[in-house]
Amino acid sequence: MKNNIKDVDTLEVAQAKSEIVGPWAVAWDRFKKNKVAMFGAVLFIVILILTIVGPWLSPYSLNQYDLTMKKLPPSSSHWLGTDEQGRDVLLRLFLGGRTSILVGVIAAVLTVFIGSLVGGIAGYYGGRVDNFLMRFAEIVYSIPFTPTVITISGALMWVDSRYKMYLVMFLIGILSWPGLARMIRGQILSLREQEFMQATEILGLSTSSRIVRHLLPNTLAYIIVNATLGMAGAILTEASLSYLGLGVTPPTPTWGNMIQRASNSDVFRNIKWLWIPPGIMIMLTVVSINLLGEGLRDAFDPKEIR
Amino acid sequence: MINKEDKSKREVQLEVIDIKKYFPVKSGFMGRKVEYIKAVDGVSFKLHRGETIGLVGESGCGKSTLGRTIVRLYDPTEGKIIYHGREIEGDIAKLKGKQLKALRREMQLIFQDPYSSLNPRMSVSNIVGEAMLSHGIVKPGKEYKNAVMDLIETCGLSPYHIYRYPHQFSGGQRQRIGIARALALNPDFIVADEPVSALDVSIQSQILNLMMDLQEKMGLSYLFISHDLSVVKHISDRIGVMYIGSLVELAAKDELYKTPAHPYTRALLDAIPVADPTLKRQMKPIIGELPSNIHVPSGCKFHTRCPYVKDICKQEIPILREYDPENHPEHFVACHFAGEI
Repeated sequence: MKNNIKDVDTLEVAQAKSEIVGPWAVAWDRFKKNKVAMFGAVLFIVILILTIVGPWLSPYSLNQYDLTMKKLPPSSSHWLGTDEQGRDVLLRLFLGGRTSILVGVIAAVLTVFIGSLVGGIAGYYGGRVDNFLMRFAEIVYSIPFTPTVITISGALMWVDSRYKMYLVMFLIGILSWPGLARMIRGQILSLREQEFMQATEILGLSTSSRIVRHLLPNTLAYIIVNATLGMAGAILTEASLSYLGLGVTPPTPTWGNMIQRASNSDVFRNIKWLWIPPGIMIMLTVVSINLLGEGLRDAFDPKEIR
Repeated sequence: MINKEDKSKREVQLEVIDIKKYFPVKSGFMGRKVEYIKAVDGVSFKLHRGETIGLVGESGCGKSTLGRTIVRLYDPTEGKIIYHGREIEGDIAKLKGKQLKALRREMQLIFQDPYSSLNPRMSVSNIVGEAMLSHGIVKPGKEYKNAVMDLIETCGLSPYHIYRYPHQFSGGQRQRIGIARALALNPDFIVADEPVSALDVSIQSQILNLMMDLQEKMGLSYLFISHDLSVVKHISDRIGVMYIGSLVELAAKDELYKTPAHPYTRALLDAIPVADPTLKRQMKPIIGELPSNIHVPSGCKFHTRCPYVKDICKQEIPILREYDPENHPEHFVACHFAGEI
């Protein structure tokens, strides 16, 4: 008899374990059903793989100048043709993608890191700390982006082209965190008033476990969504900065400075393969990330999760 | 005055002495003028071991604040909370750090909203068991799992429910999880802050019965906060009535329902709907609005709405007293004319 009960117990446990539907599983389930978001995710992954793997498969190398082969239209040996210095455009497109996406990722990570740290501290501790950090955030928020970047880039003209990339990441990162900080702060403030946070206090849990186990997991969804959408924004910002010649400068390729070639009217009219491909790539990347981000936002919607 | 035998039998577990909780609000130009919301404004009472005191009052009268101040979720502005517990003995109004953490093992709180009181990103086993680990009551692993399973079963759920997440439960089940969490640290005294007001009527009685079973099994004392008089009547031994931060009447359940002495209590009891459409009700509704708890009326706080108001009510604050020890022992009222009107 007793054995019987135990068997039933383990059976129930096994069944229960198969029924576990955690919040992440719920989100993933919803995301899977969102066809548009899945399309965005797949497209982005394809672009990512192409930019990472592409350069290895190319028979050419980055600084392979061949003036006898310049301005060649797309052909079987140069799928996207060559530029004025005879370099393979397809290879530069892949490498430019690496730079552009890397700038986007790092700038977004930096934004998210500063933003959630500042917002989290302000929201959790409140009072004077909150006041100070939020006023500081507002100051940063009110700095006009483009003039500042033009000034800083101008002042740092002597920086080598290879390091310009890091400068751009850094600038985008430290100028775009306040929006996220405000949102995280609001999130933490509203979470703090939730009864489950009061429960952690009444249960005598430590501050670290309250932050790590209760607050953070509940803001993580927002952070992920924002990081994704912020990445698309950073890629666009990098592209426009590079287009203006203030971002990453040649010979390091990025999609932004590749499009910049179009400012030359000869290139614009006659060598279209130089600027149309990077333009399309920027568009596809940003659209795919935005679709992915929107899908994540819908999937994580906390109103339906609880 | 009080029956001596009765008194010795009933051991006092908690004594609240003139407790106050004020919340500052800034107003005026640049927040220069600081005023206080007097959420709890001088409440005193005793709670005996194994007893349930029901606390009723309109919304905003300070009953939740009182409960949360007693369990030290809020720091009291003034007053003493004397607690006679297993490890803690004496005034707990100013405990801090380690001692406050020890107090958490003696008294707990059950929350009102079963939706916002459970972390949506944690499994039931973590929600219920987290505190046990944090207080070192059980070791991680099998012991922990068994303890959580036992507890969840005691609260009327199946042991295998511990693997699930809150969104997979109904409101009543969630409230059971909330109760299990409160019991995890094996407390003796529980403040239940409107634990059933967010639930369907059919579920309410299940939860109330569960709470009463647990009380019997574990020897718990409750401070049961509610605005639903029928719920309070079902579960309480004694009932306290609050009005704008003060206790206006405190008496045994039957005594209070049969012979309410404070005009406010009478009005509250009159307002209970009667399930008989042919019965014409002799209801005298309370007139006027609830006064602000920042600028509290002078004297008796109820004087602005009381039908029996006299001059003395506007000047002198009535104290909570046993108005007729002979005929109504242990019936405390804060009214100048208790027994006369």
